[in-house]
Amino acid sequence: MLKIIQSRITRTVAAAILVSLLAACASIPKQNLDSYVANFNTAKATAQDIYLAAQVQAEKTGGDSNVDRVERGKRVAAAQARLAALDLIDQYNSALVKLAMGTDAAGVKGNLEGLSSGLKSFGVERISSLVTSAVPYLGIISQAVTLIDNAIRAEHFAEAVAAAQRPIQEIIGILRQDADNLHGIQRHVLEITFDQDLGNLIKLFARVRPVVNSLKVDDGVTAMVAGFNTSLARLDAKGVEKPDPVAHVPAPNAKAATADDLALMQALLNQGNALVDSINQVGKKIQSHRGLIEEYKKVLAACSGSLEELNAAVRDGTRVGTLAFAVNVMNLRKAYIEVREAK
Amino acid sequence: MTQDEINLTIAEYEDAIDKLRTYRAKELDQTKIDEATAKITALHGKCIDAHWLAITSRTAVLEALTTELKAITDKASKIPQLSDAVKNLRDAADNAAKLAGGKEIKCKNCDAKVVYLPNALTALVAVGGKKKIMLTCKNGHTNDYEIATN
Repeated sequence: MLKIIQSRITRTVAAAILVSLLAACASIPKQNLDSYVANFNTAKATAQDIYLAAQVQAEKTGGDSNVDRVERGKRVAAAQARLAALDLIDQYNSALVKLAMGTDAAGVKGNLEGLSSGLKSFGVERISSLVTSAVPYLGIISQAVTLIDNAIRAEHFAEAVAAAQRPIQEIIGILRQDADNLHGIQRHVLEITFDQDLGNLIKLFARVRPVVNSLKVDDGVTAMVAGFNTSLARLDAKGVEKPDPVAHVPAPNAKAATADDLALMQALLNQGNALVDSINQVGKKIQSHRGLIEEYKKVLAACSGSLEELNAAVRDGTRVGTLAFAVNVMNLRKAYIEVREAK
Repeated sequence: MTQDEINLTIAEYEDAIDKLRTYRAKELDQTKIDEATAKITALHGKCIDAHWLAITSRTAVLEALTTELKAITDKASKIPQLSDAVKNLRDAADNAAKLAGGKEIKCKNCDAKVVYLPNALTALVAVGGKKKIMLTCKNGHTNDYEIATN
């Protein structure tokens, strides 16, 4: 009787020691994982928008020649390859999150109890005695099983994080390089309209000057000239040299302005205002796209940084106990098998 | 075309565009303005092509990296959900039951086979020539099964 009690105490203590060893060794840096996944999800949402817009742009460009079709195909394929890479990183992240989710000790205990009652129902003496002797330890066994499970996951997690470091960092690097080119494409596409409108505005002012100078000074003409210069002052085109303001210098043969002259000037002014609005709007679009790309690059950098931090945390967390932990897992498994086969 | 060459081409175009814009702003002859605008439009097109060339030139590398990551993801996704230890115990129980003359029945929830012993059913209540038994498969699904007694 004493031997049985001693044996039970020994087994309980041994199991408890193993449980504490496993608890100390197997860990997944959940906070780092959450940070990395959150950064990636933000980057992914923006990247998808940017690449889908680029794909639409690519589909529109070029003509019907074979060269144009081949080039268009390459561009669409390039955008789709990026979208596929983002989806794959997402799948990889899901695998990491799945690995990070530990088994619930209570669930394992319930599972073992179910197994225990199942074995009893077989009515086999040899197995029933095994079950009966195991029942007092179900709690601690379930904890150990949970920790083994979590430890195995942690080991696979660490392997997966280390292995994916280089490909993911390089993919992010490519996305960062793409970002400036994507902005370049968008900017030049918008600037085609911008420059055409700017050219039309300059032509319009070139037309306005002789019309204004063919008229004598009066309140109506002065108001129109002021209107043109106000319109020009509203032009918000950084880095672009503006046309000179309209100066009213009546020609020697200038005539008094008629209602038709004023109506013509009003029509030109309306056109000028519309062109200035359009140029300013395109300018804002270019600037906001630049801002978006800058933020996107920051998020990509954050994503890259958080993946590095996750990897560092995994390395720090497993450095101390990796070998001891692996040996303990193996030993505990062997112990389970030996107990099972010995009875 | 290398990335440096592409960047140089874009820079040259940018420089040319700036010069043309300045020229156009000072030039009020309408024909020349139209010519300058057409040149700028063409230069924008070349810049767009150069940017796309930079992107498409990276696609092959990106695809190779994606393939590499897929293999890593596939491996990471194949980690078993239930502890191997629990599965081993359950397999052992099934094997023992088979050795003792057990019979197999398919789990109601999955493809796993559950082993039961007909001679262990004597203690169970017979209902209309059948007996009920509660069994748990190795994937953890517990269900009632009706077993014929003859």
